[in-house]
Amino acid sequence: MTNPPNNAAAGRASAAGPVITCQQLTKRFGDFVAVNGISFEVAAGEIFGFLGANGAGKTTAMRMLCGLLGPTEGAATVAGCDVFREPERIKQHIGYMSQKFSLYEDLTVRENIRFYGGVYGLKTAAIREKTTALLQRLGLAAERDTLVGSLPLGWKQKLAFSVALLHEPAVIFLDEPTGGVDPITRRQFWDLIYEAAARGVTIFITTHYMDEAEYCDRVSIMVDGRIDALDTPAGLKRQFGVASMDEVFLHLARGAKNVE
Amino acid sequence: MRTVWFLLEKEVRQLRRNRSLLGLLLVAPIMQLVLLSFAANYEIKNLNLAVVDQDHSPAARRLLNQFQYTPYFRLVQTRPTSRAAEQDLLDGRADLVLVIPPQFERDLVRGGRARVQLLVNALDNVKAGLASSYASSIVQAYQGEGRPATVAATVSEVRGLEVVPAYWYNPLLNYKTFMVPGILVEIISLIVMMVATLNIVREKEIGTIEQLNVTPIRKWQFILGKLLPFWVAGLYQFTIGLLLARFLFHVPMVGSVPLLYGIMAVFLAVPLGLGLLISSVSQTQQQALFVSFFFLIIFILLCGLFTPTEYMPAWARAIDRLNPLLYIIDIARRILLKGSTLRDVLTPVLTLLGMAVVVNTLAVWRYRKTSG
Amino acid sequence: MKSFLMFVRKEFYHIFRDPRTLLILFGMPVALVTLFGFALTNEIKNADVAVLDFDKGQHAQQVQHRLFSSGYFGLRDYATSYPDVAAAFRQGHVKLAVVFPVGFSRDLDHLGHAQVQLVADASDQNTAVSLVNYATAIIKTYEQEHTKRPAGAGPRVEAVARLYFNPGLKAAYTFVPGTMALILLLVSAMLTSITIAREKETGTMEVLLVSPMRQLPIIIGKILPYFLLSFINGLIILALGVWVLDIPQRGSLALLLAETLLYILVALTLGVLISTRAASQQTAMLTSMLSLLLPTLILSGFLFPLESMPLPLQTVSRIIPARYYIVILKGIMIKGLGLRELWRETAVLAGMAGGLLLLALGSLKNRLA
Repeated sequence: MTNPPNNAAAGRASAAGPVITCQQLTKRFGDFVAVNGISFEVAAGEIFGFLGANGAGKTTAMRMLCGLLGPTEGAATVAGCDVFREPERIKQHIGYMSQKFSLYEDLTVRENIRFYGGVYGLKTAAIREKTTALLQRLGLAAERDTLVGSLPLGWKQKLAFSVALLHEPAVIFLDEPTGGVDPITRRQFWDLIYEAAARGVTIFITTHYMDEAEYCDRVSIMVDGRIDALDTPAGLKRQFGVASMDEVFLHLARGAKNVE
Repeated sequence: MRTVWFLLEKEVRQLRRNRSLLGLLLVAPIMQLVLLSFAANYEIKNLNLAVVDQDHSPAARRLLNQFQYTPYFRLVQTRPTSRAAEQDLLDGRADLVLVIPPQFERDLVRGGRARVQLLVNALDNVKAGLASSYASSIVQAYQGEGRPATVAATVSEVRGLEVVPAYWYNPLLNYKTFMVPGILVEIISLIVMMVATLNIVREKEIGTIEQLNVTPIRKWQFILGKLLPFWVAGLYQFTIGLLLARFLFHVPMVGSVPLLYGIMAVFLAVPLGLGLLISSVSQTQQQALFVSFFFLIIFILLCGLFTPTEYMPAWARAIDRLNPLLYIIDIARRILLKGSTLRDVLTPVLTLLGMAVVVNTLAVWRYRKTSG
Repeated sequence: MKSFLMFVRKEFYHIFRDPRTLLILFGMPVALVTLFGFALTNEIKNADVAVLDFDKGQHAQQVQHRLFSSGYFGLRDYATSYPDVAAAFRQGHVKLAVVFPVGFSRDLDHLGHAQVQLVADASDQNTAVSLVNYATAIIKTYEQEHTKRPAGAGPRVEAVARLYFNPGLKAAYTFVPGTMALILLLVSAMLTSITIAREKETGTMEVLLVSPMRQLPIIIGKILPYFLLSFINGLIILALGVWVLDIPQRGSLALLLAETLLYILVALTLGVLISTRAASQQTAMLTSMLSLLLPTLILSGFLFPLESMPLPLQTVSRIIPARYYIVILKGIMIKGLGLRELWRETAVLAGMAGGLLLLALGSLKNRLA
């Protein structure tokens, strides 16, 4: 678990040290151990893939890092803030996009941007400026007064991602952000991810799609609440002696107990 | 405060797009107020009377006429026997049966005295009490002549000891004066509390709450942003309701209306805060609805509008001390009808203020951005 | 048939997987019926009264003694002037003042005629009217027993009253059946009003509608589990009425249960109708609360006499299901009536159930079209 980030990520990373650190982070619900002593570090600007079968504990782990769920034990920091003591301070420095859809369907594109910008404390002028830039970049300028509910899913996802970056967070957490869309749309979404990473934003992403796993700088695979493997995609394939991430995943997931 | 503004803006925009909710919030209360206020009348008139006339004499007919001259009774059946008339009581067709026995006239002429029987449907205790006392007065006042008379006039003639009632603050016993402000407050509480109840838990079910929970928004900002739009809606309803009360129902407004407004503003924070509290501890809208219904129906039924609260068992009165409607209805009545000043109603106002602070503090405290 | 059974089973899963809702569902009616059964009353007990005695004579004393030994009234304070009375009203401790004018006793003895004034705080009108009625009755009894009248001046015709069904004039006989009808209707209707709206919101309704199942089985499948739950609720409520709140059960138990089932069916279909029309759970719930709670309270004859209402509202009250169930409850339980006397109310409820079902089916079809 002390594998250094691969070269590409290292090139993008700042010298400031890891943005996310986790030591023996654990979450229990009664007798059930959802997350069992996981430890890892994520460097600034890195794209960190967080894989695992449904029920393996990845969403729980992510919710702890976002300050949505109190951990049971261990230690973790996000953007220099302690997950136990400062969950509210973390929230100033992160963006979050969940699998449950996070924009208000009964607000228009522009109203959603304005709302989240306002909640994060952006100045009115900044909101206006960023709205224009964002709409331009996504090619949504014509749809700015359309209700979000009537946009196609792929557009909603791109919009949600961009909104989550509005306040320029150090880290963005993406919980299965590309569920239910076609490969081309997914590819476009990943272009946005790369752009953000190039600006130095750390990306923490959970996914089911193994082709997406290949896009990550490093990938961790959770099984039954533990991290069973953590390396670059190439390193993992080498380690298990297989040709694709699919096979790596199947190899590890076969031993799992808690699969939905 | 700027964050609260953005929250407000969002809530208002969502509300504006939700036509059916908007209708329920802005139009339904007014319709209900008008409809229900005309119906909420305890005055008892038009009691159904059945008659068993076994005498068939002019004297019996004259007694019967006395009943028909009053607004309290309307003759619905004439039956040959008491047994047949009892069936009318059973079926609910008659509230009261007047049985005039055979030889009624003969007894009256020869002995100067006669007797009739009143069979009263006592299922409804108030109605039964009034029916028998109205009927007894009419019968006692009857001297055998066929002279029309009102109950009040005949009663005073007979009595050596006259009871003169004086109804202060509402001398004509106009039920609307009493009911309209109460029903208005009930409807407003019902709606704002329901809307508040369903609000947070709805965001929970849809999933947007999580997105808010990862923002640096403060808990009090969140609650305040949720509370304010419905608070304004409540005051809007109150304004329309007061206008209707004044100009449609002619409710007197002796005291200071601005004072009542101010107190209403404090009061509204109680059902709203309670609704938000319920909403943030509920897992589903269904749960939230039932819990909120539980509180609301107790508030509404035990607020003193429909039945007096003074004569409830001590334990029920103790529970009712926590009923915010009990206080606001009392306050509204005192300000509007008696012209009470802030000094007069200070205790209940402070009680409401205390409740508002407590439930809203609880709502802020119980709202969890980070779950266990 | 098999798919229908699966569907019903799914509904049961929804209900029983959520113990918190289940607790609310069964605990709440018990708490409410018990609370209201004891707390809702119009019987007056120990009402605080002020006395303003300008007479201080023997009759004034005796009238007061009568009032305060009746159990209905208690002496709160002696006022010395009308402003005192006004002050007491303003503070709200006292709702009735008995005023004996100067020379009250003397007039009654010598002239055979005197006045006593009952001043009531009519801003609380119900209480005011009750207090005046009770006090008047007590004073009247005193008069009949203690005043001298010239011979032959008494009433020539005497009325002998016989009270049927409720000789003790218990308030519970009116309030308990009303409470039972109200709670049963609301809880049942709210249950179904949510269920379809929720499926619509989560998108599962679409799945059901495109399945080969017809609308009627969908609606029946939706209603059936709640029918069972509500019937259990109905049994609990009836049992509370009889064993805790002392309402007699004079008629046929089988008929009582059958009528309760019919009433529950009306409530459930009403909920289904609301939810097929509403766009979201939120509007479904608000609509059912708004359209059922206060109208049932006020227009069912539970609290306010129907025959005093303006004619248009009497007509409106005919569409309130609780109106009929209250008559049926009182009829069977207190009067011991059978179907022969209650067929009209029963027919109306049956008609409502059928009509509501058709309307709900219609709305579902519209959604498909």
